Amino acid sequence: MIRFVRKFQTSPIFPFIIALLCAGTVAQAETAPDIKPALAKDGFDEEEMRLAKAIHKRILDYQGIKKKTNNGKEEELIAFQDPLASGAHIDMLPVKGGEFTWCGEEKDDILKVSLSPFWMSKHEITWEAYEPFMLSPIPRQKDGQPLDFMRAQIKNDIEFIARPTPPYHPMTFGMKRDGHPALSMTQHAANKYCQWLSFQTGHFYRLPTEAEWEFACRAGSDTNSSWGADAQKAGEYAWFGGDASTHYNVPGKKKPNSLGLHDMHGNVLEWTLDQYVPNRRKYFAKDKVHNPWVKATKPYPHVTKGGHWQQSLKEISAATRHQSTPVWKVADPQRPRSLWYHTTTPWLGLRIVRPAKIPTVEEMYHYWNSGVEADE
Amino acid sequence: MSHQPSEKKSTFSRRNFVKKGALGGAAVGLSPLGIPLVNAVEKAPKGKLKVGVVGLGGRGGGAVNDIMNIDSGTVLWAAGDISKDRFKKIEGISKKFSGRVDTDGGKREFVGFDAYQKVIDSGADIIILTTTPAFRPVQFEAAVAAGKHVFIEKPYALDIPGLHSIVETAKKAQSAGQSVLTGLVWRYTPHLMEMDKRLQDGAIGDILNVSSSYCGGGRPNQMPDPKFKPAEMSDMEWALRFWQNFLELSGDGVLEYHIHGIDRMAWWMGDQLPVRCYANGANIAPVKGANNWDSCNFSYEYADGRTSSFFGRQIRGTYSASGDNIVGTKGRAVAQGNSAFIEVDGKKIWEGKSNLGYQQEHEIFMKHIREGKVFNDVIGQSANSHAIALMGRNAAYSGQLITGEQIMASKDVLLKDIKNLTYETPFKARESAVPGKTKFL
Repeated sequence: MIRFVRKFQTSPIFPFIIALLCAGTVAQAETAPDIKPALAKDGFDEEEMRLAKAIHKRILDYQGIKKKTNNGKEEELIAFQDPLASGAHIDMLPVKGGEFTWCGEEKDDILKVSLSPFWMSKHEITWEAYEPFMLSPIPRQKDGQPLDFMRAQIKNDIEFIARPTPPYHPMTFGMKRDGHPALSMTQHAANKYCQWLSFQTGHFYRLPTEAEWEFACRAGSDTNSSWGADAQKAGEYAWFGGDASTHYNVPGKKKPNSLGLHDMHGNVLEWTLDQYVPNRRKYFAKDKVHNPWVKATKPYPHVTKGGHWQQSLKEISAATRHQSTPVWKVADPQRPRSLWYHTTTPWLGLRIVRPAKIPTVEEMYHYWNSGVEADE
Repeated sequence: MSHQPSEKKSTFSRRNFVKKGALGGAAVGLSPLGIPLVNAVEKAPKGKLKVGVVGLGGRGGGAVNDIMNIDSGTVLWAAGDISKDRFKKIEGISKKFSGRVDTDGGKREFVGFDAYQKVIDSGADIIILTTTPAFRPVQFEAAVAAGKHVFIEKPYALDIPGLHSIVETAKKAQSAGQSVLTGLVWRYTPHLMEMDKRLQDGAIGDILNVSSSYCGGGRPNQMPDPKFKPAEMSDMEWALRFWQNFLELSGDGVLEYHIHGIDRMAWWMGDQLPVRCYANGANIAPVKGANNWDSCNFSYEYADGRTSSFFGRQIRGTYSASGDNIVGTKGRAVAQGNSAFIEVDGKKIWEGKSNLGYQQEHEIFMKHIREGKVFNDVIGQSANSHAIALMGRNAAYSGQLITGEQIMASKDVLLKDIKNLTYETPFKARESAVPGKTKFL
C-alpha cells in the first residue's frame, strides 16, 4: 500500500488525488439508486438471499473493524489496493460523485445525471485477478452450483456462489495471457465475479452502471475522448486500430485519463450493469436522474463500453454504446449454451466499481443476480 | 529428423499421396463418399424427417439444435438418456423450434441404459449418438442395422476392436445407402476447408511435415476428490459422471479431446496411417482417482519417410492454444485457433478466418440425405484419425515403437460387455499407464 501511494506521488494526477483527500469523508446521506419496484416481482431466491445477507454482514463487520482501528473515523475516498487470496491485487481509484449531461444516440435523449461517489478499478481486470474465480477448485454444475451430493460437505459459503464451469477452448484465443485483461466472460459471470470478490475482500464490488462508466471515462471532458478532440493524440491514450491490429494488451501501458484510469478507451470492451435501451430519456421519463440503472428484463442486449483493440477510433469514444448479442456465443457447440463464456469475443473484458456507500442486502442481491442470464 | 527410428530412406513423391486414404482407400474431400445412389431420386426424402437423440448432454442438445437449424423439415421425435434430469432440455428445444418437438407428450422420452434401442425403434429417420463415447460402437451398430442415418460424435472408438466394429458398421451403412457423419468438426470449418483446397492445388508444393497441437485447460468434466463419493453411489455411476477422467470411458484425453488436433494433422498429411509411431506422455498434474494422462507427445513416420508430430496437454492454468504448422517444399501453412494463413517466400499469399463448422457439418450431412446421396466420413477419414490417435496413445502408454500393422492388430478391449452395462456393473479403473511397464496388447 505504501509503495503504491509513493508511486502515485510521481504520477501527474497526484494533485487531483490530494484535492479529493481534502474533500473529506464519504457523504452518508445518499438516496438509493433508481431500482424499479418491479425487480423482485418473482420474489427473492432463498439461497441467493441467504448468501447476499452473509456477504452484506461480512462487509458491515469489516467496515466496523476498520472504523475502530481508525479511531472512529469513516473510510476516506482515496486510492487503495485490494489484495486477493490468490496473491493478485486490484488497484482502486476514487471517483468523486458529481453531475454530467448524458447524451444518447437519439437527438432528444439528453439527461442530467448525478452520481454518488465510488471507487473504480484503475485497470481492466486481469487474468491474474479473474482466473482464480474462473477455475473453481471443485466441480460445478452448468449453472455454477456445486454438485448436489457435495453440498453437505461444503463448509465455506464462498463455494456456494455460482462459478464458471471449466472452459472447453483456450479463452486467450491464442494471444498472451500474463498481465493481460481477462476475456470473454458473460455479464452473468462478471456479476458473480463481483460477488465472489466481495465475499473475500469484505468490500462491496459490482459492475459499473452505464452512467458511472461514462462519467468516469469522461473525467470532466465533454469531447469524444477523455484526452480532448485531438485525434492525433489517441495513440498516446488508447489501444485501437481496426482489423489491422492483432491482439489485446497489458493494461496501464498508455496514458491514463485525469482520474488516473487507464484504457477506458480501447483495449477491451467493458461490461456495464445496464440493459441497452435506445432512448434513456424516454425510459426514465425524467430530465434528471440520480444513480440511474436500467435493470435487465432479458438476456440481450446489455451495454458494453469503451470499445476494443480491434475497433476504430470512432467506435471507442466515451459515448459509443456497444450492445451484447447472442452472436457472441455462436461458437458454443453445447445446448443450452454456457452461462459463463462468450466464445467469439477475444476483446470483451470487465472493470469493477465499489460504491462509497454500502448498499442494502436487497440492492446487493439485484446487482449480483441479473435473473436473465440464460440465453434460451 | 535424425531421431526418427527410420529404416527406410525418404522416398516421398508427388502430392498425389495426399489423395489416398489409409483404411478404405476412398478419395478425401468435402464429401468422402458422396456417391449418388442409382435410385437417388426415389430415395430422396421430401417431407418431415424425424430425429432421435441418444445422450442429452451439452453436445446432444447442440447437435439437435444444429440439425434443426439447418433443415426446417426436421422434428425432434425421440430422446434417450441414462439421467432423467437431462430431459428438461427438451423444453428449451421446444421453445426455440416451435411445433417441431413431437415426442408424443413425452412417451418417446426414454430413460435408462437401454434407451438407445427404444429411440432407434421409435420410428426416427436420423439418430444422433452423443452419449459417453464408450457406448458408441454398440449403439452405432444397432442404429445402422435398423436402417437409420447416423451422426456419431467423436470419439467413437476407444480401442482397436471398437474401431473395427465402427468401420464394419460404416461399410454396412454405405452399402445400404445410409449416411454417417462424424463430429470431427475442424474438417467442416470454412477457412480450413478453403486452406485444404489450396494445399491440394499445390500452394506450398509437397507437404513434408506437419506439427499440430491441442492444448486446453483442465478437463471440462472436473472430478472431485473420490472421498466425496456418496456411499450409495456405485463405482460405475461415479465413473460415468466423471467419464473424462477414465481411460475405459473416454479413451484418455487423446481420444476424447486431442483427437481434434490429431484429425487436423492427419488431414494435412493426406489421411494415411503412419507406419511407425513412438511417443511419450504422463500424468503431470494428476487428478485424484483419474487414470487418464494429461499430456502427450507423439511422433509419426509415414511410408514415404515423411514425419508428423502432435503435442497435447490438458492441465489447468497452463498455456492453451491449438494449431498446425504445415511445411511444404515451396512454403508453409499455419493454422492457429480460428485463423490460418499460407506463406510462400516469406509473403502471406492467403489468410482465412472462421468459426468452427458445427453448422456446416450438419448442412453437408442433411444435403446428402435430402438429395438421396450417401455421406460417409468414417471410411478413409475419421476412422484413420481414430487409428492414429490410438497408435499414439498405445505407443506412449507402453513406451514402445508401434507399427501400423501392430496397432491395427491390437486386441485390447478397455471395457467388456458394454451392451449389458448398468450402474450395478462393477468398475475398477486400470492403473495409470507407466511407459516401459504397461504392456501393449
